[in-house]
Amino acid sequence: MEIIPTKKADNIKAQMRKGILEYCVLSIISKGDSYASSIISTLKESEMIVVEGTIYPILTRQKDQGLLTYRWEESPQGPPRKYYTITKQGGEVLETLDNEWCQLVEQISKIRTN
Amino acid sequence: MKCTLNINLAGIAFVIDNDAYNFLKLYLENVEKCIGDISDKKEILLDIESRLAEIFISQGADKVRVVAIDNVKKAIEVVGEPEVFGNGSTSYYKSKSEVYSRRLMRDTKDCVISGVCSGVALYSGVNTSLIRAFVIFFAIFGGTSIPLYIIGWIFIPKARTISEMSLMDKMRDAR
Repeated sequence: MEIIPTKKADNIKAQMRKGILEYCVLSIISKGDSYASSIISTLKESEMIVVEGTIYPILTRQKDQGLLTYRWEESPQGPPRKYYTITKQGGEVLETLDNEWCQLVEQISKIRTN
Repeated sequence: MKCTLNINLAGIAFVIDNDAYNFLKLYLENVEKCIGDISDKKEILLDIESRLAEIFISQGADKVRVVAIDNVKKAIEVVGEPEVFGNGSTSYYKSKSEVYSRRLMRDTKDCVISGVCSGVALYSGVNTSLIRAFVIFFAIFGGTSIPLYIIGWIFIPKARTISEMSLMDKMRDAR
């Protein structure tokens, strides 16, 4: 009987996280240039993602939107890596998202306490 | 003993078991279908291939050590099933049994004479009894289906090998 509510909660949790994943990716890259695997491990640590695959389409989309650029760097092991950098435009978008996030938190805490 | 293949994954050469190769190939094909027809498809696929290459290397694959099917399965666990690459709204990918290419072969597991009817039925997705009924009908009235059946018997190959048999089973399951 315990399993069903947990499953439902997991589903909602996954939906909530999905919505803010793009924001998280942008935020991580703004802290310093990073390649996919390092972004992934940060997200995994904070339990934002379970599998890596979700990240690749997001990175490519943000690059196309002009929020990110990348450069190739050789890796000591394996294929060369794409290092992503946030652009000026990306920085501006991140700023609005930061504000949006703060507002959201405020609004939600209002709803919860009322 | 197994056959191995040489593959190039994101510019890195790997030696891979034949079954692992087929598994990986199917995975990448499904990922491609799930991504859908967007302009960045190639780029995303290459990103994924690079990541898989990285994982295989971290698993110890090199010129001597072969990539086995377990390595591929573990790598897919990390990267994610093909569905995660869809944008949620367009989920092309439904089940593993659905994604394969159909082939016309005589089905000797389910045959009355030589498996032509059941083979055609599997290939086209039409009910086997219906096709048999048609053949019998046109054999009695006009006789046109008899030469057609014989042509089918001669030219449609029989499902022989294990992979051919399993393809037939997949088509059967999908009905």
